[in-house]
Amino acid sequence: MTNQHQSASGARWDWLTPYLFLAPAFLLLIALRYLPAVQAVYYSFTEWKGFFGSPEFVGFSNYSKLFHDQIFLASLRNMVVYTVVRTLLVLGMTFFAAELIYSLRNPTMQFIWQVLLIIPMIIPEIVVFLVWGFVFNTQTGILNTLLTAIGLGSWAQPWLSQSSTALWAITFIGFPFVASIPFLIFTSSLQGMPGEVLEAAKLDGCNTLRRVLHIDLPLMRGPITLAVILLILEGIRVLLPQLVLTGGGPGSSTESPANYLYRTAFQYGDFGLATAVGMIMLLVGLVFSYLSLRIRYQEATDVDI
Amino acid sequence: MSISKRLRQYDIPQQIVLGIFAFLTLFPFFFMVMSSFKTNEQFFKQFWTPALPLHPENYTRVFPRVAMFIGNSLLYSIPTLILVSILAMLTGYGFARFRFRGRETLFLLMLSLMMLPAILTLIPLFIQMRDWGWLNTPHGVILPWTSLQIVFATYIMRVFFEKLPKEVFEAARLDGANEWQLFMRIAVPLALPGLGTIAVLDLLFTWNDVLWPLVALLDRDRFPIASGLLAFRGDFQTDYGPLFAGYTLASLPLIIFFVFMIRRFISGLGGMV
Repeated sequence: MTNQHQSASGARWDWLTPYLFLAPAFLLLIALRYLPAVQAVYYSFTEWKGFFGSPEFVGFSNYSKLFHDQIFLASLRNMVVYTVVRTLLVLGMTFFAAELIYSLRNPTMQFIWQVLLIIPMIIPEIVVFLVWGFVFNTQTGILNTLLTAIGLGSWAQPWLSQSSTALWAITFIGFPFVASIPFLIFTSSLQGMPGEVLEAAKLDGCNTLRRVLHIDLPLMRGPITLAVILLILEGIRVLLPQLVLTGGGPGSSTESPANYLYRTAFQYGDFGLATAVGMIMLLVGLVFSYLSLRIRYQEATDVDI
Repeated sequence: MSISKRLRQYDIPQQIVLGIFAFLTLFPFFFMVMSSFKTNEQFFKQFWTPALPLHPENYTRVFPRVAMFIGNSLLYSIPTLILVSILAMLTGYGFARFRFRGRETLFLLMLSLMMLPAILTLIPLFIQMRDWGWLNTPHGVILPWTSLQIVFATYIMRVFFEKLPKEVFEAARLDGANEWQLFMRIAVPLALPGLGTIAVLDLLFTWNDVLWPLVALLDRDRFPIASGLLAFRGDFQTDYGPLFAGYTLASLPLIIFFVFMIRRFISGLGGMV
């Protein structure tokens, strides 16, 4: 009797229990993520100069200013080139490397190569960029010294400090790109492929190239889509090469939206304009992720994991 | 056995290509470590090969500065990791164990934050920190970092708790334990090993983030390692030995940590699929 009574009085507040478990995290998220996001929408429609100024509503003026700003437009072009080229390069190289590892018959060797190839992932990103900055260094860099040493000194270039090569140089940072999340995605999903399908293919006399093209690729549509989305988002948000190496220059040849945002806000103190850049980055990211997912699910009517 | 057969048995062609990949991938870092023991004279004379005598004093020269940045990093990274773990366990448990109104909506609302680039909220967050007087304070770094990390961590913990058999909880509940006791006595001990993946992702993030500390900390001596190295580079421009010694030192803590975690690291990151 007493027991029943207790649980009944407890039951009045039982519905609250799950919310209590969620409350701390959501309070933090509301204060530091949702609220600032909503503020960002508003700030992007305001004129707001400087640390001590205050926002003043100006409608779409920031957005129209941006689309007439040659530097911002250049940053969008650079972003597209960087993202497209890098996404293709990284996908190709990491998929190739993952297939190579998958083709090894000895599991221990598979593991050893996998570990060797991802070591740079546990080196701080900033060090990776600083060291690659040295690879491209004009006077003492690894690349130019190598070219001179093998008699191709005339090919040596100030890679990062001339506008014709700078964007390409930062695109190739991390070559051959295997120390990356796409590589881990591919190796782990190749290892998880259904054995029967591969056995059947082998019995049918399917050679490696045909297996890769007709079995692995369709089976890995999901992981590939994930890798594409991650790479596109990374490309849209790219900042470190600019922050660490080029500052967006020479001229605006390597400018990226993120770096433009940072400079607009913290060098020129134009918070309204900078936030509008952030909004554009958000929208571009959403559109591309949506498109990749749509393509993935439209084509995936036949095979699926 | 013919040579070609033996070549194929050990997958020699693939191993050669993988060897080239590994060489290209690792050479810049090998070069960094090698050069960190050279004087500038040795550096220019013997560019490609290690040079004797070694000059470990490059390390002692940069140690105080780099150690300061590493210390700062620990000061921000460890509390972030603890907070993220606690909050992810609470929230993941809440989502996994209870059925309640709005559960999936709230969960989606939370996951949608992953599409929100951190740089979009950089300015509003900066203004908020200014108004609260949190600029240049440790919690001004720790709490924003935590808010960025708990989303995916919660997702991991939810999946983890959903895999646990329900009977474990039922037995304890019959013994009269309330929900909080169930969480503390059963869920948390079971979840602790599952925190490895979260620790990996969290440390990678906090060790790498440059931008927020650059904005939120006005004082260079408070920079964590990533932002600190930007400042550090300026001080040693063309003094290559100490410069590379600093980079190497900065890389050590993560490397040491991950040597012990390498399998979990691979499965953890691969498990994002």
